[in-house]
Amino acid sequence: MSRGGTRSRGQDWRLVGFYSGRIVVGFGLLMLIPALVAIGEADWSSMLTFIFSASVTVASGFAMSISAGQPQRPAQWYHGLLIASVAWVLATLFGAIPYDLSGYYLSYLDAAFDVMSGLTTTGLSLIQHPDAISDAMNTYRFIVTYVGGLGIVVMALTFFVNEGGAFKLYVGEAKDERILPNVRSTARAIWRIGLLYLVVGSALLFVTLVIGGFPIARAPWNAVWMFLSAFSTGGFAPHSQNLLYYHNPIFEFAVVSIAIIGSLNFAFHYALWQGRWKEATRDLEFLTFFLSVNIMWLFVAIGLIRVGAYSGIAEIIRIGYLNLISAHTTTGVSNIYAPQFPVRWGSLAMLGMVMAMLIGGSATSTAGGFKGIRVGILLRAIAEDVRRMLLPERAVVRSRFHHIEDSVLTDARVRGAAVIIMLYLATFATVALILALYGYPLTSSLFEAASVTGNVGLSSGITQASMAPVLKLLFMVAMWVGRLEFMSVFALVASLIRGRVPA
Amino acid sequence: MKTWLLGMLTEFGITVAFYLAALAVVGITLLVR
Repeated sequence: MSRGGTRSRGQDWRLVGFYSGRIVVGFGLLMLIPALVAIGEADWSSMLTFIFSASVTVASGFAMSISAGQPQRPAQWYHGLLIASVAWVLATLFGAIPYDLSGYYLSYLDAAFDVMSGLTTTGLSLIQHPDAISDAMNTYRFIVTYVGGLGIVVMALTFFVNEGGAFKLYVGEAKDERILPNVRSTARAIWRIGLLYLVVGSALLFVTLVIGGFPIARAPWNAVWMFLSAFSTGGFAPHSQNLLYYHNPIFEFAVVSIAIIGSLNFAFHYALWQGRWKEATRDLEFLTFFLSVNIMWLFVAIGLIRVGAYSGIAEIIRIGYLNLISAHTTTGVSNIYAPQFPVRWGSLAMLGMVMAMLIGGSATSTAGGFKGIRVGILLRAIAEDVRRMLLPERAVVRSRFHHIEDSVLTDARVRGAAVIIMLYLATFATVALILALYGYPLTSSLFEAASVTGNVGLSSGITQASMAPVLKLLFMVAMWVGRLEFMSVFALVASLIRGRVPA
Repeated sequence: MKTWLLGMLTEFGITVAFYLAALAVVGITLLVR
């Protein structure tokens, strides 16, 4: 009995090791893109950094896969969960090598924090002197956030893995909707949408930068970087002043538009791209998102007007609405300095932002938070329960909702949505409580906790290189569990504690 | 015109709708204040 259990456990972990190794190889190969940028600009120091980091990462990934051996059976659901959580940690650990070697981080922990922040499309950063870093390093920062947004498992399924049981891997990364019947086609559809938007979105940002008088020689890089940041709802910027650096309202509007598009469900994109226009007026998730944005905006707008934070409708829209959308789409770009939130915005606007950050964007998108579909399902369930109370006891109520296709509102769906929302709230409350324990003010603690849990990246000023290392680790864990939507990480922790994989 | 391009334009149209709704919300808020 025990021998059989041990053998089974070994096979399961080898399967996890094999696929995680493949994903690490894929992540390592990505480091060659900034290496090419460095070669193009004769930046030999950066080139060496990236070639060394890529070599170590690819070699380690291959070593993992080879030592694990070709799997004897297809991956099961449980393996998919474990592979996603293990691969994200490994990608963070290896991805931090070039950051650490660059000298722009005070420690390896800070470097790893930034990779986790990038991969989870959070956007909080501990980098020192971001205005001075090389183009190659900036390219790497934005590639990390873009690939994290689309999904590193999705990337592997698109380019490197062609195996049976692929859907089980895909689900582990919290992208649980099949856009096409075949999961590999789904992964490719996600990449096709992402890459087409990369071309169109970067061109749009380039034009708006040039119109605003930005130096034409620097505009292409800034356009591509800010596209990668906005579409992946990441929030990094190549300058320490973030969007404020550009002083360009048209560019800000374009960035916000791309952030909204990036926060939409890939299945929703695909439906529109197939000519199913009516989805824009029928899809429960999109309608919930639209409604939620406007309700939260009402609170933020009233809050800003009440404290007189900004004068005139144009300034309220340009600053207030940009930051609200940045929060709700979980992007994290901003056109004000972080300390201005607690000092200038007032409690009501701050709480509106906290709610927006927690609700977040759409499922199967690059965004974080509860996700619109879960909020929509829960609201629909509450409405149905009230309706049921008003009907005769014997009446049979079957509720439906429309999300890309017509579906029945089953108890299992409601339970699934409620559990994930509860877990987000529990993580948010825990992080906020610990921040308060460290002496940070309540509103700032709530704001930062929502930003970390919902993978947003806006800061009230708490996230700094000088913060306690234990808080950096706490934030990394919160970003990780929030992005993978808990279940993958719980599966990993349960397997490690119980010492076996129930596959 | 390719359907995907129309889809993309629809999505940019949606973002404009977001801004128009935001303008309406803040406009009404200022009016009833």
